[in-house]
Amino acid sequence: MIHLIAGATNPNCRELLAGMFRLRHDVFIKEKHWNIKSYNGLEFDQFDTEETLYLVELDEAGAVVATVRMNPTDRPTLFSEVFADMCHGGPPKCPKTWELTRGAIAQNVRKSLHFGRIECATIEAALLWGVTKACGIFGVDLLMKKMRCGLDAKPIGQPRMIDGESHVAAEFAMNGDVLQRTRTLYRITGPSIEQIHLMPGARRAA
Amino acid sequence: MRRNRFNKVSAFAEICLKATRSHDIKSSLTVTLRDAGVTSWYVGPLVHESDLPVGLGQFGLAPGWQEQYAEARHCEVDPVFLHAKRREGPSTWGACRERAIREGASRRALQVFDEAEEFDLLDGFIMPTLGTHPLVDGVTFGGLDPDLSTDGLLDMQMIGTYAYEGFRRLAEGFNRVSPYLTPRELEVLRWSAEGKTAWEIGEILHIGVRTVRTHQTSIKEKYGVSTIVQAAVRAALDGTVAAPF
Repeated sequence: MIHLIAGATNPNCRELLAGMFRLRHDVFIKEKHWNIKSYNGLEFDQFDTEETLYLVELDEAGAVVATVRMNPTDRPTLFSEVFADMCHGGPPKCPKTWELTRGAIAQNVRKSLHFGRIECATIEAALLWGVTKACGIFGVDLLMKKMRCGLDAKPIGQPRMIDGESHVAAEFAMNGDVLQRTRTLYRITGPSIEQIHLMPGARRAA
Repeated sequence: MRRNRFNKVSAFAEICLKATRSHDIKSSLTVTLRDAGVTSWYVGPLVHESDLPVGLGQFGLAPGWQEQYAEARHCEVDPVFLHAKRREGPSTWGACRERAIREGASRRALQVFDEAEEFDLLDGFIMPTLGTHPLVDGVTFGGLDPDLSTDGLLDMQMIGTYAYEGFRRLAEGFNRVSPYLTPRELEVLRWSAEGKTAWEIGEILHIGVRTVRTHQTSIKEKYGVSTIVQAAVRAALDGTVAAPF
C-alpha cells in the first residue's frame, strides 16, 4: 500500500514517517555509505520540511519498503543549495516542478515491482498537485531505468562522478500519457496511491 | 568547453527521444562520436549477429570489421563483451584486455584485440545496459585514439544510454501510447481476440450484432488498423488485453 504524506512533521503519520526515515538511513548510510548525517538511525535533512511530500510504500507486514521525497523547486532544494553547479542555466525554480530526491527501495524487495508502483505513484501525485515536471540528480543507471519506464528524461547538466558513480541532473514531464505508459509497462491497472495524508489545517484539497 | 560538451550530449538526447527512424539516431550518433575520436560503434544485445532478435542490434562499424567479427564468432570470447555480461559498469577496452590477461584468457580471446587493431580500433568504451530479457545488452564505442578521459567516459556513458534507449523505443514501438478503450470496447476486443464472431460476442454480451460491429469499428479506428485481429495483436502487445498465446 502506498501512502502520500504531506509534511515531514505530519502528526497523523509519525510512525510512517519514522519508518521512512529509517529506510533512508538503511539504504543511503548503511548500504551506500553516503556521507550524510543521521540521528538515532533516522536520516533526514533541511529539505525535509512541512512543504515536502513523501510517497511511502508498506509491505503486507506493515514495513516501509519504498519511498521518494518531492519538494517544489520554488523553495530551497538540494539542487539550489548543494548541487547548483550541476545544472546548466541554474537549478529549476517553479512551483509546478518538483525535485525528486531520496528515492529508496528496501534491499530485499529491489527486484520486485515496487519500482514501477512508486514511479506510477509519483506521477499520480504530480497530477493531483498540478505539477507538470520533475527534476533531480540521478545515477545514469537510474536514468536509464526511468526512461525504460516511459519517462522522457532529458539531461540539464553535465554528468559528474559522485561517490564513484556517474550522476547527471535531469528533468522530465509528468502527465497522463507518461502515467499510462508506465502503468502499461508494469501491468498496473489502477491508482497506486491508496491513502493521502494532508497536513492538518492545510487548505489544499488534493 | 563544458557548455559545448553539455550541448552536444543534450542535442543527441533530444534526437534519441524524438526519433521516428533508427537512421536519425545512427547518423547523429556517428557524428556525435566522431568528435570524441570514435569510428566504430555497436548498440544492442551481446550475441552473435545471426542470433539478434528482429530490429535489435545497431551497428556503425569500420568496413570489414563487422563481417570478420561475426565470421570468427568473436562475441563468444570477446573480453569486452564478457565485461558487459558481468554487468560490472562502464569500462575501457584496455582495462578489459588487462583483466583478460591477468585472468589467463585464451589466445582466441586476446586475438580479438589484435584483429581490432587491424581496423584502427586500438581502444574503446563498453557499458552494459538494462537488457531485453533474457539477453544481455550493451553499448561499445571504439577508435584509433578515442577520448577516454574521465569527462570523455562520462559523455560516452550518457551518449550510450540515450542511443540504447532511442533504438529500443523504436524497436518496441514504445512511443506509441495505447488508445483509451471504453469498458464495453474492451469486452468486445477480448472476445474478438478469443476468435469469437460478432454474432457470438453479441450473444455473450447480450447486445446486437450491429452494436458489436460498431464497437469493433471504433476499436479499429482507435488503433489505426484495418482488421479486428490486428487490433487484438496491438492490444496484446501494449498490455491492454492479455495475450491469447
